[in-house]
Amino acid sequence: MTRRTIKTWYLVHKWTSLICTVFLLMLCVTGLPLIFDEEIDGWLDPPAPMATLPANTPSLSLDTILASAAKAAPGEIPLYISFDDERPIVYVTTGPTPDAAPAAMHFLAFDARTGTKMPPYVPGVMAFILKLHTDMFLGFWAEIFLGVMGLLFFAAIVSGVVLYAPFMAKLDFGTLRRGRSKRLGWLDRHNLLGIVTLAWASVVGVTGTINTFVVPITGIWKANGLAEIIASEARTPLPAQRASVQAALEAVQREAPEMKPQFIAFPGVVFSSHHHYAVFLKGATPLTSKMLLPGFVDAATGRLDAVVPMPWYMQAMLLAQPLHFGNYGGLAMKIVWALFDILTIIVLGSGLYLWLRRRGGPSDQRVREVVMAGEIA
Amino acid sequence: MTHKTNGQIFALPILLGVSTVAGLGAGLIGDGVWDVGAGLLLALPLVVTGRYWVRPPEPVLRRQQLQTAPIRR
Repeated sequence: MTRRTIKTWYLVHKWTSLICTVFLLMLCVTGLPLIFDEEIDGWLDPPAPMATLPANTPSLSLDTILASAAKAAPGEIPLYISFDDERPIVYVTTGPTPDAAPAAMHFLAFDARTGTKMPPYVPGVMAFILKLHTDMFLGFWAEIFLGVMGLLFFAAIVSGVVLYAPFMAKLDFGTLRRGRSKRLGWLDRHNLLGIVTLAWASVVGVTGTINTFVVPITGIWKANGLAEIIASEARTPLPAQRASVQAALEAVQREAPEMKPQFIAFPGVVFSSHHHYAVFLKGATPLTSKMLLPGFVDAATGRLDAVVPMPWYMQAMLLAQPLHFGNYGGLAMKIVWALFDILTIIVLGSGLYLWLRRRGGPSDQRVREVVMAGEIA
Repeated sequence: MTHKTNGQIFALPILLGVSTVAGLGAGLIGDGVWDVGAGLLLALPLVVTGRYWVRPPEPVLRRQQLQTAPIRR
C-alpha cells in the first residue's frame, strides 16, 4: 500500500469517525439498557395476572374485541390489532385518524378468551429511551439522519480495517504495548477492540440504518409490488359498514394454515391500503417467524383480494430487526450484545481520545504513525 | 522484524468475524441448541479479547522464558 493510498484511507477514517462518533456514542449508551428492554419493563411494570382457564379455551371473535375497544376509546378508530407471543392477549391500537402520530394513538390490551380489558400499556422509562435512541424526539428526518450516521459508522469501520493492515505489519495480533506512552497504549487498544468488534458492529450498524428506512421502504413496496392494492385506490371510499375482521383473518389463514397471525393493519395505515384489512401471518419456526406473509382483504366486501409474498427488500428489512436488537437468542445473547456494545463504546471513546491527543503537524504525520505502528518518537 | 503478509495479519480477525456471523445466524435458525451454539460462537471474540487485554499471550511468554532459561542455568 502506498503512502498516498494510506493517507486517503486515513482521511476517510478520520472524517467519517469525527462526524458520527457523538451520535454513535448516544446510540450505544441508550442501546445498552434497550437490550434488556423486556427484563427491565417486566421488572418495573410486572405483567398483569390473567384468569386461569383451561388451556384449550377458545378465543373470542376479533369483532367482539373490537366492539370492546370502541367502547374503551370512544371517537377513535382501530388502526392495528396485534397478538401477544406468549399469552392469550390481543392488543388493539386506536387513534383519531389512520395517519395519526404514534403519540396520539392508544394501545389497549384484552384477554383474548374473555374480552376482559387488561391494564393499559403505560409508556415508561424504556419507551423514553427507545424514542431517544430512534429519533432523539425530533421526528422522521432525525431518524433518517441517524440512519445516515450509521452508514458513516460503517465507512469508518471499513477504513479502519484498511488501516489495520499497514499498522499491524510488524506487530503480533493483540499487541498491547504496556509501560509506554498513554496514547500508544490506547492506540493499541483501539486497534484490538476495533478489529474484534468488526463483524458485530458492522451488522448492528447496517441493520440499524435499515431500520430507519422502514417507512420509505414500505412505501416503495406499496407503490410497486402490489398491483391489486394499487387498483383498489380507484374504488369508491369505504362505507361506514365494514366487513368482519375475524372472517378476514380466517380467509387469509386458509391460504397458509401452518402460519400464525402477527398483526392486522386497518385501512389507511402505513402497512395497508385505503381499502384493505392487511393480515400479516408469520411462520411457526424461529427463522420463518421473522418472515411475514401479508393477505389483503377488502374491508367493505370481505373478499380476499391477494396473498402476496413480500419482495426481497421487505424480507431483508424484517430480518434486519432482530439482528439489530439482539433479542432472538435468549439471555446469553443479550449479555454478549451488551459486552460488544461496551467494547464499541470504548472503540469510539478511544478513537476520539487519540484524535484529541494527536501530535501537531500535517496529516502526513498520522500516515507515518500508521506505517510505523505508532512508533514515531 | 519482517513485514507480515495480509494473510498473517487478518487470519485471526477473519476467524473471529466468521465466528460472530455464524453466531448471529445460528440464533436466527432455531431455539434451544441453536441458541446455545450462537452464544458460544458470539462469545469467542470476547474471550480472545479478554485474554489479550489482561496479559500477553502464552507463546510470547514461552519464547521469553526460553530466551532467559540458559542464563538462569
